[in-house]
Amino acid sequence: MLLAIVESIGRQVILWMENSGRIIILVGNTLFHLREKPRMNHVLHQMAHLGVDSLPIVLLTILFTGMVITLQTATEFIKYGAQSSVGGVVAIAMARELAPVLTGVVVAGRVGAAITAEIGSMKVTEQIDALRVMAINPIKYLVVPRLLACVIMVPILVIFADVIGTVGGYLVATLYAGISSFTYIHSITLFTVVNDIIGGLVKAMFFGGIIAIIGCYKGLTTGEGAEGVGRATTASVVSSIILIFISNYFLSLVLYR
Amino acid sequence: MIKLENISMSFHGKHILQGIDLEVKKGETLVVIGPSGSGKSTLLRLMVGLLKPTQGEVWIKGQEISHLSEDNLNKVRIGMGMVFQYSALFDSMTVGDNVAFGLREHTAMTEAEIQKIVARNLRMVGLAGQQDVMPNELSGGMKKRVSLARAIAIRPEIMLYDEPTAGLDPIMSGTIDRLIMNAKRVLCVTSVVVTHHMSSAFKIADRVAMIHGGRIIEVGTVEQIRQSENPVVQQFILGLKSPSAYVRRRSEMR
Amino acid sequence: MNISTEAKVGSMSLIACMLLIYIMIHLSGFTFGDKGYPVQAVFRQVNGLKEGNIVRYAGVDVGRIIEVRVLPQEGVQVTMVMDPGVKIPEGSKFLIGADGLMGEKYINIIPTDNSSSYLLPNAKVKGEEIQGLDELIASSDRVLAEVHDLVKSLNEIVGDDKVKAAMKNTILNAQEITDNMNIMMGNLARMTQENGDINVTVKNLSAMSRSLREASARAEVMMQAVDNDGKTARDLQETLVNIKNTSIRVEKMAAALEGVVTDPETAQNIKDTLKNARMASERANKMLTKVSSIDTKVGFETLYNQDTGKYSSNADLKINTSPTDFAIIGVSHIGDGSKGNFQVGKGNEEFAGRAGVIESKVGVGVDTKIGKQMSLSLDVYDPQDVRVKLRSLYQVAPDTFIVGQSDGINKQDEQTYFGVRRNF
Ligand SMILES: Nc1ncnc2c1ncn2[C@@H]1O[C@H](COP(=O)(O)OP(=O)(O)OP(=O)(O)O)[C@@H](O)[C@H]1O
Ligand SMILES: [Mg+2]
Repeated sequence: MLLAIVESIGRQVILWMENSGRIIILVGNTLFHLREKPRMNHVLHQMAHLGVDSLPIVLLTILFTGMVITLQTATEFIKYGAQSSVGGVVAIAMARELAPVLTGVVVAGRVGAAITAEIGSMKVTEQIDALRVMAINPIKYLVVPRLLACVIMVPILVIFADVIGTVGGYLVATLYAGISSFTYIHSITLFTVVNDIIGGLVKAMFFGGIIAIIGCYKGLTTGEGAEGVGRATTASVVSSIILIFISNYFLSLVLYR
Repeated sequence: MIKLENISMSFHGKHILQGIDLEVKKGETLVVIGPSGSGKSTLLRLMVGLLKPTQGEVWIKGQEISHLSEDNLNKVRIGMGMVFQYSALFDSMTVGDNVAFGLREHTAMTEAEIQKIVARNLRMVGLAGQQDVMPNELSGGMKKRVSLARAIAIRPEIMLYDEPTAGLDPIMSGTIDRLIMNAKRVLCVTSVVVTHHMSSAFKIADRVAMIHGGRIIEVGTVEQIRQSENPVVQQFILGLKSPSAYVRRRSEMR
Repeated sequence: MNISTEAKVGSMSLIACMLLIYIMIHLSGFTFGDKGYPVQAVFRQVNGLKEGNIVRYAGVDVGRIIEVRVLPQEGVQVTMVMDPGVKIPEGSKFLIGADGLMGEKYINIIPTDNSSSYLLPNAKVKGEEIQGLDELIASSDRVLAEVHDLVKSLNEIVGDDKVKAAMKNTILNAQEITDNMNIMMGNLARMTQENGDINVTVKNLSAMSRSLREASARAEVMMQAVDNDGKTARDLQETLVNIKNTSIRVEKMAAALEGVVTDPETAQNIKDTLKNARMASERANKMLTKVSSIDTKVGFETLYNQDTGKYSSNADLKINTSPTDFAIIGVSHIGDGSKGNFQVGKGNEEFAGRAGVIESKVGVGVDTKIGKQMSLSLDVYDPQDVRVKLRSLYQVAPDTFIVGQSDGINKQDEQTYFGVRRNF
């Protein structure tokens, strides 16, 4: 009984380490293939598919996040007479944490799932094998463009998110909480520094990388059949979101010391 | 051209192939027959390096491929083509792009030249003018033929066919058989064909190998296979109920 | 409409780039066009004011601080940029304020009515000092330390055992006050850290005001003891000033909190605090006027004897109990057969007469001022063997004098001294 539990834990650990190792190998392989000129039309196609098409949902999510954050902070801050800090606090929270993480989560749900589903179904219908037989390296052909697209597009999405989040905050602060628009904008300039934005964009690059690599890995290791694709897709989204949150902590630790 | 030495293959401890020795000469057409699940597709996958054997060596054009890196394997694979059992068409591309894929990736041909080859290859498999159709609009048999057109587009020296005529009507099967024979005669292509159609097997084969129970139980020319004393082989080629049925029938004939 | 992939990606990237550049420019404080004009204000200390803080004129944001620089002597120079078009009347007061309990510091400009001209670009003004809490704590510590030092040096100067005993009492009282002050300061310090919770703040505030009241009551008792002693007048005065300042501070803070608090218990606490603080303040004020009429001066001189080639040191304490009455206690030739001085006198700066003990003998003396910086003293003492001493003081600095002295001019053993005197 006890042994069975210990064994199952051991199995999980081994499986986990095996996966980590494979992911690292995949990362290594992918980076190795970056030295060759990537297929720009593929990258562009993926950028449009993964990046541009995600813009509306990112904007919507972050707009309302900025609004609700302002709603909460404004009422509390006004109690303490710190209404002139609201804009700054919202902007810093946006730039450093909320915009990158939430964009990461939204993109993981949308793009990570799409990547895994697409590559996974190629895998189960032997299209990956067909590629290999036709002397095409699937990593170079499938993974590299997606990685590049994500690493470029997630930061770009985050720039939009920073802006829309602050705009959402502005709307609530001025229309609902009664903070003057000058005070709000002024406190943003007062508190926020360029590094807050840059740090958020660096995070976004990492998150983009995580989403692409995990998405591709889960796709390439999909089990048999439609069910396998489904399971891989779920696993991809869950894993990349978890990884985004964990790495976000450590990135914050390093970036905002 | 292709040489397998003492190949064993197992998945998760289940032995599929054991001690396989097989050689295919240049320009020869080897037909592999055997019951469903006996490991024929696995054998083809081993030959093209999609699978690594658990034991033994795979020699392609004098090069041992079972421990080559993916990039070096790709150099070998440029000279090889494969028709997959389930077609494996790229479903995000049109039929035309599927056929043109290898040419675009590996040759410096102009688009016009490529389009000419695509049109000719599709005509050869009876799908003239279907360039702009998406694969999911095709029937299984049509996909099979696109897959064939795609595989032969880059004119490989070695062709591996996994049941190229499965799901095709007899007329179309005949066309495909002739295509395979033409490729051999005109281009001196080395082919390995997996098929369940005994008539086409005997028509196109130089030699026939039969897999059973993970081993090659019989290799020989068409005549040798027809004359085989092995009841299992006879049962298979005649489609009898059991090996003993053949033994009974033979004794009756005597 | 069919937009190409390139167009989609391109336009999105372009917009993102433009947004990013705009954000960067905005955040790094770069502005196009008219930049406004700079004004410099010098403060003694700035309480954590820093670059980027805002400047308010009559409560309206009119600019921001671009530089805070420590000057070698004058204090801290704060350079602010006023928004273009903002006019600040000359003579307006520049104060450092804070937004709420945990808010940012800012410069508050309080306009003045009677001014016809405005500050020009690059104008330099002097900032008004509001005594901050931190500074108050620091300065009262310093004052208390000075009380100790003073008492100690007095003790040294007046080496008399009786005086010592009398002083011990005073010191004990001073120490008690010091303890009270310390508790109070501790509370203040804690308050500044814990200002997150208003309730705690208010409780601390009321405890503090209570101990303040006790301190002032004790000071009153001490006052009575001092009246016939007079030695600790100076330190006592400073203690009282301190108490007054502290209580005014407490009162101000409580008043500021009053507006914020709605909870009845807290409100009651604040009312008590205000009452206590006001009482302490009033008492300190009353005592202060009483004490201020007692003016104590400590003087110390070192003289060189031309005839013997020796140095001698004298110390004295002059206590003005009223503008015209005074007493002098002193020691001369310290360490070399010390002689005591104790005289009472009457008179003003121009002319004063005194009588008592001079150089351990009975005697009388007169002091007269001749000219602006020069004064002369003539002392006659020792009825058995009458000696005459002539002294001249020449003031070279507010508290520093050059002393010429001739002792026993009527005798053979006339002694002539030259030296320096300092009043403390
Ligand atoms: N990737 C794999 N993982 C586990 N088992 C496998 C895998 N591929 C093949 N097998 C097993 O190997 C055996 C042989 O499979 P293979 O596809 O080679 O058969 P086949 O001879 O081609 O059959 P058919 O004629 O039906 O196509 C089967 O039992 C199959 O279950
Ligand atoms: Mg098969």
